[in-house]
Amino acid sequence: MQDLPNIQQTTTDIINSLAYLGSEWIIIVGFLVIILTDLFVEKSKMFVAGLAMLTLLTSGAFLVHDLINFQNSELLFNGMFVFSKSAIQFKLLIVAVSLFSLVFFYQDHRLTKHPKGINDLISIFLASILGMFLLVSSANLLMLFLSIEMISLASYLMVSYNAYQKKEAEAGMKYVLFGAVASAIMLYGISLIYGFTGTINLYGDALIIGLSQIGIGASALAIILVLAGISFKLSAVPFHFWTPDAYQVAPTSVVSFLSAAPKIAVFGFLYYLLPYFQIGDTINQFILFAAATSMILGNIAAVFQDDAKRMMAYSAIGHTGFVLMLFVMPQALILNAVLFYLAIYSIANIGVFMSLSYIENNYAVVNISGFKGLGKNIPAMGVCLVILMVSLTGIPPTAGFIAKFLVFSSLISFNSASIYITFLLVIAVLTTVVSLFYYLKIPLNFFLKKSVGDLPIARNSSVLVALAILLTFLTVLFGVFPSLLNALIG
Amino acid sequence: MGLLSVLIFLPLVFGILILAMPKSLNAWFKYISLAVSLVQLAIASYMYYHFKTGDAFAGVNQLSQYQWLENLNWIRLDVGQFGVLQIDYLLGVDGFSIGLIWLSALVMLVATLSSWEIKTNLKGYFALFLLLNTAIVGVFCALDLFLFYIFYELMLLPLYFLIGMWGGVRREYASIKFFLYTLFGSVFMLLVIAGLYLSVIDPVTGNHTFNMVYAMNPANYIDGSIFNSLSNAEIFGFPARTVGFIVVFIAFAIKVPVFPFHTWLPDAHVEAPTPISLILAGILLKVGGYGIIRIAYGIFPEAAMSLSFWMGLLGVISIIYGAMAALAQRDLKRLVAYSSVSHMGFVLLGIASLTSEGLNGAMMQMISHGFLSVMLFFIVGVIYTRVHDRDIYNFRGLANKMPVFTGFVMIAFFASLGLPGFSAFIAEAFTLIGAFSSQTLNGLLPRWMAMFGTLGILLGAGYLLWTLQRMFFGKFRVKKEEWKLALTDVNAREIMVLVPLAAMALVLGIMPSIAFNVMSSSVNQFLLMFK
Repeated sequence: MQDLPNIQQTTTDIINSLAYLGSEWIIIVGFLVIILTDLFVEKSKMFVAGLAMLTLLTSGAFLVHDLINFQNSELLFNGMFVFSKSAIQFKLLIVAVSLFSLVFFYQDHRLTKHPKGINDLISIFLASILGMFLLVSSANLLMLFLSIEMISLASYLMVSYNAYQKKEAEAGMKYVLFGAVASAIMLYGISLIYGFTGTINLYGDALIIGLSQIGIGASALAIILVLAGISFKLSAVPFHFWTPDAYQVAPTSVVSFLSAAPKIAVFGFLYYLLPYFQIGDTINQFILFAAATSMILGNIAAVFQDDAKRMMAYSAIGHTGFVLMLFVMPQALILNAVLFYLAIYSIANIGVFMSLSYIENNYAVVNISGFKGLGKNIPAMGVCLVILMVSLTGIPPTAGFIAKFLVFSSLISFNSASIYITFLLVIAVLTTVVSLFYYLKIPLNFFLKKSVGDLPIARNSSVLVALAILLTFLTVLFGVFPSLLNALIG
Repeated sequence: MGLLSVLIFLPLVFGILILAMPKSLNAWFKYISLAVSLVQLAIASYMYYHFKTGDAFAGVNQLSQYQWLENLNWIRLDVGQFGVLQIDYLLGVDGFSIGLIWLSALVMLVATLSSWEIKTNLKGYFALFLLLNTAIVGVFCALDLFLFYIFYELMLLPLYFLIGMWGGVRREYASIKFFLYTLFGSVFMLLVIAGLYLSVIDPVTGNHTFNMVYAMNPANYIDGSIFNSLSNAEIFGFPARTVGFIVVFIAFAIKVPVFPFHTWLPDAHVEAPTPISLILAGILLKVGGYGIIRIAYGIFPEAAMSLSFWMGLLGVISIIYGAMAALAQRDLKRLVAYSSVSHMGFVLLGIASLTSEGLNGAMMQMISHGFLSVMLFFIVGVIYTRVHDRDIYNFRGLANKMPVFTGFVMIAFFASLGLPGFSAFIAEAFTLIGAFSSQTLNGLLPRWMAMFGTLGILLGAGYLLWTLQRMFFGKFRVKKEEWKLALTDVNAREIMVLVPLAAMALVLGIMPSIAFNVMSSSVNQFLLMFK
């Protein structure tokens, strides 16, 4: 029987912990100020935008400060919260993605022309970032549940932000129902783990010893149930059903945010979770299965999509599978590859969604077959899209290739003799070839096909052009000099 | 900044310049491109002229013997537990690459001249064209596997657009097919490259390295690593080095193309605009042959030797199959495309024989086919630009109307079918001698392979002479009345293209030593790895 901590110790610990949370505090303050501003100040759109930007930048500054000054990991709040270098790295990535997304929100006509304005969305957006920060730092299964719920609720609201029509409401509803079920499953898994081991703390030995003592069947069930909830947020097969619908109807900028940031957070948590669950083969088998099926299903289903965002949804499923492959390895081996891949994927992904939004704003087309001949009108955007798509496929000289190569070489160097790893690698390679087929559909329609009628000149959203060009430039720059990115995230 | 870097990045710089220039200067783009090609040819000729020959400059598996060596630290990526990802910007030339570099420069010049026929979206065309140029030269110069792979893949995207945007009716299908085929092979190759990287260490710094020259030396492999020949690692139950060889071989065999990986070639060649067909046939197929020699055979010599029979067999099948398929074509461009399959089969047969004659012949065949296939495709282009038709049966007696042109056609056809006095004769004779003597020298290839290979020459004479007879001899008769006016004889620009090509085929046929001199010591050095 372990000693229960007394109240005084607990309180001291909490008070001491508060100081570590600079980046989180800033976001909470920003969130509250934005809500109040929206309530009491009229015409506060630009003010709120500036405020949100300031919040993110300050929060990022705190993270950078922490990254430079702290090396060890510490447990805070009586073991609810872990403060570690890797967590800070994941959070920084989230902040970077959020910064781009924030600018993007203000360029998305579906959000800016919303009758209630965009301010509500921004406050939800900040709340979801807070959720992601908490998730990355979770050291306790209850904390995991709370932060996943926080992200989920925010995501539901953002996806359905302008759901006035039946179709949009349907997708939002699907997302909520799936999410609720997934949460319930995960909660069940957590309660099983608590029942089996008597603890919901991830650190320490209690969880590992407890799980290994109760027999393979029970521990496997508990682990799989928890992972199911996590897979839902990652949109890994077989918990991906909500993804295509949600991506298709949600505002493009929201999709762009949701396809990158929560994923980074969940992978960040999975990274922390890995050593505690890698008892027996359960987690490895689950991840092997989820990675293989996600790559296969995501990439093959994407071939048959005509809606660009739906295609990107399946592509996201495929990329999730690709990153998941890394998690069959021990924790110590994967951090660099995971961070690098997620950073590169996010850059390319956001760039693609910005381009799609630009096209939607100017030409009101969302189908790939509607892009015919657009390359003549907006060649700069076309070239950006080509390079970003090439990066997503993983062809040199773009950064996507380096990221892909890092994943391959880590897997080969980990255990090239294992038949499972070889099997995963073969699937990864084959699906890469398949992915080329659908990624190239956009350049194909842009440049190779002739337009049906005369297209008007694009006038709107020149900010998006600038940002897409910037992201494309980064993709090539990090492709030729990957050390630059490594210096940034390391 | 060495000469090789200038050679590689000159086109890229001017490609970016073209992108930055306004559309109103459209007419200048082709002259810029031409000037770049001329400078490249001058540099390549200078290098060829000053190329040092002899055993002290053989290259192959001796890094210090490479010429115009450039070595810069490029990527040092900290990948945590696995140490540092070391990628070097390593360029160099030996006897295997110098000839192909010169050939590339010449073919790019010819292709630029042939690009005069391109009328739409010139800015995009020449920018992509120059990017392709950079990638091609880079492939032949790179000695770091990673760098090689980057240039190798970099060729695909410009080609996809060049075929897809300026190609024929079925261009979309052809371009995506080409892209998917090549990518299929090369992504698997990437796994092998990663495996090699993890197996090979730099003897100087002790880091893992992508250096392909170090990968040729068994002493540089880490004990117990996957591609160490002593560690007997297995992949799916097969020896790892054999699997590695097969994967790399298939990647390049798709490029060559070797039967049964050739089906992208007729489509891509037929749909591509003439200048791109020239580049495809003249250089890209050689990238495949070069890769087989340098990477597949160079890095996995013992696996290659054990599979030599099958390599030779694929070579013979390609020779016969390509020739038979060519016989059956109505479309002149398809015929030429299939003849490429047949002629490149000799390259594989020569390499598989692993004899000095065979390898010299294979290299010679690559260079000779470089000139001749370019000439053949250009000839097809001459007819096609005039009447937009290539069906053999729609033309008859063209010799009466286009006598000068027919003269060039006869030179190209006779040279291609291996008439003594032209380069193809020397090349094919050497490969066949190599294949024939292999049984007694090293016992790798049975004699009947050489005999069947000879049959390919006979079939080659069949389809070429038959075409000559059908299209050029007899009474002048074409399908449509208006073609009679359109079919004018070759103009000055076309003669300017055809003359040097014909001259090169003749010069190499009479004085093959020009090419043999630079490569023989490299070939000998290469063969030492198989002893």
